[in-house]
Amino acid sequence: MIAHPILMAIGMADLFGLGLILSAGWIAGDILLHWNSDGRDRRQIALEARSERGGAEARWGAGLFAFSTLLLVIAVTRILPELIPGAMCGTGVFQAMQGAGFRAFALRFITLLLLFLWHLLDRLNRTSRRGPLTETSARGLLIALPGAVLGIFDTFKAVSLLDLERPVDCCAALYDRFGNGNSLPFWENIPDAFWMGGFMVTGILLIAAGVWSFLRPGRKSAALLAIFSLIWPFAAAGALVQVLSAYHYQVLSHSCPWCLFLPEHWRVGFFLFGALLGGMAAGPAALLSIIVGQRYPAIREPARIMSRRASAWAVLLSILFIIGASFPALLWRLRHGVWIGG
Amino acid sequence: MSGGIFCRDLELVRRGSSGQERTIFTDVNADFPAGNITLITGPAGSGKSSLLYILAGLIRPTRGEVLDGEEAVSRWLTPHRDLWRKGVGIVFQHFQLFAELTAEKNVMIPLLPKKWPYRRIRNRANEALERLSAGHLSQMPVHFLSGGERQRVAVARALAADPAILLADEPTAHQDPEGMKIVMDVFAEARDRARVVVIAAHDPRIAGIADRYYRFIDGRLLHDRGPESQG
Repeated sequence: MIAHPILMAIGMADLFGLGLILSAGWIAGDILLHWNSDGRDRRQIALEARSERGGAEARWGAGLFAFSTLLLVIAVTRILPELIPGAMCGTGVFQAMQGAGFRAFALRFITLLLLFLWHLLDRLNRTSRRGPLTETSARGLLIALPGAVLGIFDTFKAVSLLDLERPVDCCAALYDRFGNGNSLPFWENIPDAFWMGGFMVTGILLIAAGVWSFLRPGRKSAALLAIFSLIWPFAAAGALVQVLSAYHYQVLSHSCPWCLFLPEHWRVGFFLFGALLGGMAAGPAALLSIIVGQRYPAIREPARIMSRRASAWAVLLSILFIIGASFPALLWRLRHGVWIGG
Repeated sequence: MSGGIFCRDLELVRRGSSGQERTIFTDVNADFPAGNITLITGPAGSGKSSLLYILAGLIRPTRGEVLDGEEAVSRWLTPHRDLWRKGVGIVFQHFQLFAELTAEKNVMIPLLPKKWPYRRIRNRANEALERLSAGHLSQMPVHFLSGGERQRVAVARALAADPAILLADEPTAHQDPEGMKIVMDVFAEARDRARVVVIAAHDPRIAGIADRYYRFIDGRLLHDRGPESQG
């Protein structure tokens, strides 16, 4: 296992974050078992105080988890490629992690999305004097908790699998797939026009749904926004990696998402994938706000405001992604008069 | 404006570091209506100060609730309870003043959240000090003041924001007869402006001014008839 300071920082942030989330999870379990908002007995009064403490612990835990995930992205994209022989970007690092890295990342980002939605519930809960969403919020935290445990466990596993003595062939991981047409994953066979068409159509639908949900917050508009904000990132990421990345790298074809994080490409990956993930979270956030607002009259107005804000973020982030992802392609077209593939 | 504060089934249990529990008081049911001065008496350690802290929202009871009108304020989430506390003025038994700051600055502190212009805050602080006959002390650091003077500054601080609820813990313990009269007049004025006034005290001189009386006996708060019951 590599004892690099950034990996130790990730480990420390993960351990403290997990400790806080587990402690908050324990309280959340107690809330689900014993909460009785009408009672004023000792257990209920103590639980009300503990629920506030648990909320603070979970907020700090989620913050540490998000921080350690950002450090992990920086480590995979900038630090570890310099240590692993043959690695030039995150693709090489993932190769060295022998498959465990992808699972760790997937679990971490799913958990971050769930923790973000929990945080939304918690914020809405705190807008009302008596916290009507305390039980719902506790449920939300318990749903996110296994993801945090597994995500951190898989990160440790992935990092422990890193071997500095064994070289990897970073680009071969991309280009070897073209050696034998039969072994290509299905998305490599999808034509560019389909990726770009899907990216544009779902993007336009997402923006339209976002504007509708912002102007007229309601269950239908927010549901539509949530659906498109969950579909669109896949179409957008596919179009970026399969088609538009060529214009960022200025080569005919290099379908690598991780090279976008390198300094020679302005570290644009942080901005693009950040916008994509933010937009992905904003849609469900708009829907969740509307649903809980309709169910609990005490928080209806703050929930409506939060839903509108989430809709605005979904639109803003998707527009920023579209501009950031397609700008090099448009510049290329203006300069050379043709698209990169001819 | 508060219509009054009401305690329902309040209990306070302290837990020591060894896990040992001590019940300070239990089953406290009491009403503190607006436009009345309520006096709470009882032996040292009976829980008078703790009850005031609970009424002020500074600590949570272990059971029961404190209502402001219909609202169980003791069970509100902390940020909401903190907002409510802006309407509560409290005179602490040990004053809790900033010793290095002047009397005027100490009295200005509870006015800062109101975001008034500085001049208005300063004027209001000096008015409060004047009402307590402590205007001449306004520019003196608190650590230069005597116990009685500090106590009047503490009362001025509690009154400066014109709170709907005024809680005072032994507010005359350091006062001579003249200071005592000044402090009591200020509480009477608050009562006349329909404020909730609750005083916890040993001082028998206060009994004459109060409208309602409670006494702590063996961890229970009992309604008392006041001076007449003591002969």
